[in-house]
Amino acid sequence: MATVTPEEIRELATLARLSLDDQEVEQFRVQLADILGYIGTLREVDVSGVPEFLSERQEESSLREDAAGVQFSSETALSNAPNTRGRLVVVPKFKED
Amino acid sequence: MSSILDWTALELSKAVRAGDVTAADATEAYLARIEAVEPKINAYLRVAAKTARAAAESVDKKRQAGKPLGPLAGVPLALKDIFVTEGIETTCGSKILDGWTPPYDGTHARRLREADSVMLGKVSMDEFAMGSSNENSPHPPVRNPWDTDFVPGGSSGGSVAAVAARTALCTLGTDTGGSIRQPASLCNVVGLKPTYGRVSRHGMIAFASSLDQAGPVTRTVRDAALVLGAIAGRDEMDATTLDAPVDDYLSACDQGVAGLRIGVHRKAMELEGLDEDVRVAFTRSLEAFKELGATLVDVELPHFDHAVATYYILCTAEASSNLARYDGVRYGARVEAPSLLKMYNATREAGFGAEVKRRIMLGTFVLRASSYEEYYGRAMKVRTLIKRDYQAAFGQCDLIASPTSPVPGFRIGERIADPLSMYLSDVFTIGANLAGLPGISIPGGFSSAAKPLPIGLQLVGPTLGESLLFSAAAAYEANTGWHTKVAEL
Repeated sequence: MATVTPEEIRELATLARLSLDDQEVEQFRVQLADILGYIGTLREVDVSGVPEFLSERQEESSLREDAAGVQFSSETALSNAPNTRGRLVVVPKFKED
Repeated sequence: MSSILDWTALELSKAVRAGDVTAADATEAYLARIEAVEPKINAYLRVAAKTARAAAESVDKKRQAGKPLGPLAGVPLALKDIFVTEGIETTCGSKILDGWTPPYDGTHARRLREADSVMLGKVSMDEFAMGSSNENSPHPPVRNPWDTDFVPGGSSGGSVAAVAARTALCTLGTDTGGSIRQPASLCNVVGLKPTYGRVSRHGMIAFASSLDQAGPVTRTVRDAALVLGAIAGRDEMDATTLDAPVDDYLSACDQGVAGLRIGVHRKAMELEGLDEDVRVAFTRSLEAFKELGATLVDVELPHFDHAVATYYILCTAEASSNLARYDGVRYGARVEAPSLLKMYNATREAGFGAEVKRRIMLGTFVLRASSYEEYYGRAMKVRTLIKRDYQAAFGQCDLIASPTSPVPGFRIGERIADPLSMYLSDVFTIGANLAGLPGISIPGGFSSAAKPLPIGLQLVGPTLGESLLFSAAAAYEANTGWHTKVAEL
């Protein structure tokens, strides 16, 4: 059984841009330990000399014509943005107080 | 005369082309059926009655004008809500995409429309296709039409429940680790996951891009062949689609299974947790193949036991990366906050459900510099070994047969608190995704319960072996007739 600390869960949440509450931290700590224990069984497999997976398509390389395709107008492209001003997307300030 | 609802897509499209029935009649029959039984099943997130009627009218006008109609003429179908549809809200079963109305059709919606089908609406799913029960959703749980206390399977639970409840003649689902085949097994319908790259992923919201593949859910093997023919093939919008020609899949359905070698991985049948009814049904299915002239061959898949662990490392890694785009900036829901970082965090915290967060967390963990080699790098190597196992097995056989799901089904709420037990639902299906191979689940029997639940049979083929799957599956279907049993609602 793998062990995971609440601090590790909070650090992962920061990296993943999730703000978990204490109850979620505890729930994920227990569940992730369980899942990591299970996926850790891959350590039993001898992978020496084995290359990482490539699909058949990745084994060849393909190029296409550099041709212009259908474009959305900026109005259409922005039609789903939660907050816009003219042709810009509005977001809160970057700097933390 | 039988009801329009009894016709297969092949029969209905022929009748529409011949003018024996209109697309409008078929559409109205299905819209009425949706109204009658949908409250018991919850398969649909959105019924697009107005656009469906308009599409049916345009198919009928095309016929009246003497123009030739496509292979799916007048066929009322529904799309899993993972498929992008112009002007129709598309949420991938997530609150974070609430209200998103795509400005374009994905390749699937476009090709199905060009084949003259009629899109009835969008069906429910586990959020971002993450789940095996359709319970990971902000919406009411989809219910299994065979017993509404049971899950329909997942993640394409709405897709299979709609076909089983006859509220759509066929649907599209997506399969990353079994999400078409496992629910098809639980609901007595046909579900096909094509070879990776056989069908475009353009306009299919990404979960784990190296594993995701779209495919048909239908009542019969021939209908699956018909739908695959309409959506398969190279797409300039998806560089991972294959150039290989699209076979005549319907003709393949007439080829029979005599002379084919069916591989059986006997060790998998010793799996802990394999239900006895499933084992019995599978043994009978193998007997049926023998009667039809196929030969059975024992094969080994030495890394079978490691497939689920490999999958949950790779799919969560890819998901954590793919889902980074949902930040409340350009589309979908936003939770306002005083700074950009707080806005990202608050939006994602409110927008994603528990299973999605769990997978993002796990994916973030396995991709972290300190654990990358031990988890992600190692899983990518084991994936190569799994692919090699299948290549070696297909040196000895033409197809590999197994149960689709280790159990006939489970009750709503039974496994939701234990994610690991839910992940093990995929034990028979995941190998085909990891190796990029085609797999089909077809009706293969029923459980011995007082209210019998369907049991699926899975066939996995070599790369681009869809025609072989159709040949064997159609022969089995004609011989056993399990697909003719219909859920009573």
